[in-house]
Amino acid sequence: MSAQAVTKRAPPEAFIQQAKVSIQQLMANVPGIQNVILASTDGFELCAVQRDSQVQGSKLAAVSSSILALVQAFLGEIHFTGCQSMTLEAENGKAIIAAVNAVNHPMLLVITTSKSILLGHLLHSLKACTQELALADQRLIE
Amino acid sequence: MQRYKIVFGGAMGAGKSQAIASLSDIRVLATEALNTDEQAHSKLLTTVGIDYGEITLDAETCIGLYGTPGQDRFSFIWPIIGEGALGIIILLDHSVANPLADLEMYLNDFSKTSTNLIIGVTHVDLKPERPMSIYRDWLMSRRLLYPLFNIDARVRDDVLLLVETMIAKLEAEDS
Repeated sequence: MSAQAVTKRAPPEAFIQQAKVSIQQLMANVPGIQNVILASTDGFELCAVQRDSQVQGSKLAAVSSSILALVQAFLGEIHFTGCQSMTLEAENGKAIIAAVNAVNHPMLLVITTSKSILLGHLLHSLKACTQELALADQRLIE
Repeated sequence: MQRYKIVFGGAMGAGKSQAIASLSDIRVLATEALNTDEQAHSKLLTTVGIDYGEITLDAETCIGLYGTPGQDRFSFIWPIIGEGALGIIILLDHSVANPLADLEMYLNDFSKTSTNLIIGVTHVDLKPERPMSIYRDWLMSRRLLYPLFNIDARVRDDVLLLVETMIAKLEAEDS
């Protein structure tokens, strides 16, 4: 990977292709996931794997980046640190927004699931996925 | 003490966060993220949630200053932030390719939330050959009479002028 490529603020296509494989694996490993969207922290959809075509990934990316930034600002005001994810529980499903603390390209993952998902299994797999993405981003400068 | 709310809207890079930082008496709460859209603007960080600051005008009046993200993908949050505001200050970047298109877009959107709008034009020094009259002419051609100022968002008194004009306008309408 050239040095010039990693100075660009948007992640390169090679990373996005690799990320798509990672989120496909996440969806395959955890039954009940409906959508996984990888977004930049400034609200752009980078890639997605979706079972529910009614969900508009680009809109979800923008809304989710706002929510994550607002929650992190709120937690900062009460001197809480290290917010990695939040889980929203609705009557008919769950949504998780998780930060991907990548050095070069900070991102977030948005996951929507069925109501009956095993949350512990999901959060464990999600953590592995975000770490994998952060590592892949780190490799861009190696 | 009376507490009021004023919202800053307008394009990315127009100076909304800077205007709030220039005016606020408290440390500004910011929700900034790395700006990956370098074609839209070269700045490093961009607001994706809200900015929040406060200014105490006198013993009776405190104003909450709310900044919005400028990009239209965040337009979902504009009416949420605008709810209950005294009015909305729209900042325009004079140096962009088509500031009148920005003016039209933000006026159309924010006029759904508030009728009390004020326009501040920033970065005028970056495009001195473009006359300020284009904004007044555009507004007049549509029979719109919003107050319009050329400001530097880094200068507290410039931003304060916008806020004080908004309050004076409301007082005039009430009397």
